[in-house]
Amino acid sequence: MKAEELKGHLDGLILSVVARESLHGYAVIEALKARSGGDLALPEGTVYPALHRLEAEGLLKSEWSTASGRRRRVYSITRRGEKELGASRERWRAFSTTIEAVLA
Amino acid sequence: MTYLDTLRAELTAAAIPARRRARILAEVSEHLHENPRAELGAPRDLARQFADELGTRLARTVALRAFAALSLAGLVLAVMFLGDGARGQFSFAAANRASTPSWAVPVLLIVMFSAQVSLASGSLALLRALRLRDLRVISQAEATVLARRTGVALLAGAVTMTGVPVVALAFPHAGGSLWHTLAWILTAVALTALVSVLPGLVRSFRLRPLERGEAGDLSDDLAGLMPPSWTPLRVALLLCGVIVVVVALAGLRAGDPYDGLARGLSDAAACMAGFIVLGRYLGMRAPG
Repeated sequence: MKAEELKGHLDGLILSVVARESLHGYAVIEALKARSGGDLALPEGTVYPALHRLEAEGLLKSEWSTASGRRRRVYSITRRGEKELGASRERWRAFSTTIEAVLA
Repeated sequence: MTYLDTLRAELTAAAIPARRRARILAEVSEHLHENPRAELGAPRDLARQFADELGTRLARTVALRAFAALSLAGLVLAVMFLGDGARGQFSFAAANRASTPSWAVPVLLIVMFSAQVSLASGSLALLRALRLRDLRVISQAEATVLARRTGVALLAGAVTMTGVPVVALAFPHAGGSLWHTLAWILTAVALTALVSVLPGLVRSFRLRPLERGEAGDLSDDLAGLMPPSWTPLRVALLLCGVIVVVVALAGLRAGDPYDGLARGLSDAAACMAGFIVLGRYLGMRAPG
């Protein structure tokens, strides 16, 4: 899937993977790849600005943690983020149902 | 020069604050440690994305916070000057009494003028912020207009609120002792609210999106509310006419038609002067 096609859905995708478990930036990208069977090939740099913005909007929170002596910024979803994720899923279902109906 | 060195320079050039910059560099460093061959994109593009996304959000948030603080200041003004104990006692007619110092009229004019500028500029900032609320990235020109409108609204709001205790000193026998005590306390509360927005405003002038694009004008702000053919000047003239009629009618109802008319005309004059002087700076008129 092309990066351009993912732009409008990036927030929902990030919230979805962070909702399962708290992750640092690199792990978020790896989780997106793993859950899509490798189809979601995002330009890796685009995820960090989105993570920072989602945190600024109160949808994610983050804290430093240490793993193998290295500091990592780990992100987790907030209650607001969970609500937004639910809304994002609803929007996607409505959108895909409509497109499916037209294309079928 | 390493990728991180270049990224640091680009983040600095994009006005990303030092603390945020350090965090981004730490995260990217960790990412490159996990995968030295990671494709993070060109440092300039990555820095630009941070500036676009964070600058967009900052410009909108500051405009909304400023409007909330200005609303509080407006409430204070309403309580101070429209309450039963004060209504009609701080008019131009009252200022002509012998016990009122000669500077009372200029102070009243400044307070009224700055209040209009603050209300207009703050409302325009709110309109623009709401119109752009769903966009992930806005243009630098749009963010600049938002920051300018917010800045002018806060400055004029601060001048207005600072004028309230000065008015209290100019009218020592009006309003009663409780009014005079409240003038100082409520002014301090409103000014604190206005000043609390300042750090964010300063940041929004520095950290702006790098996206190119036009800022639009007053017609864009009022799209859907006004006929598309209406020019910004026509909208401003209509607004001035409405202000004169409404304020004059309010004066008539309060039993002081001359004062009402004087206030209406001065408010409309303030509105038109603001449009002429600040129109381009605040993005009401298209750049010449």
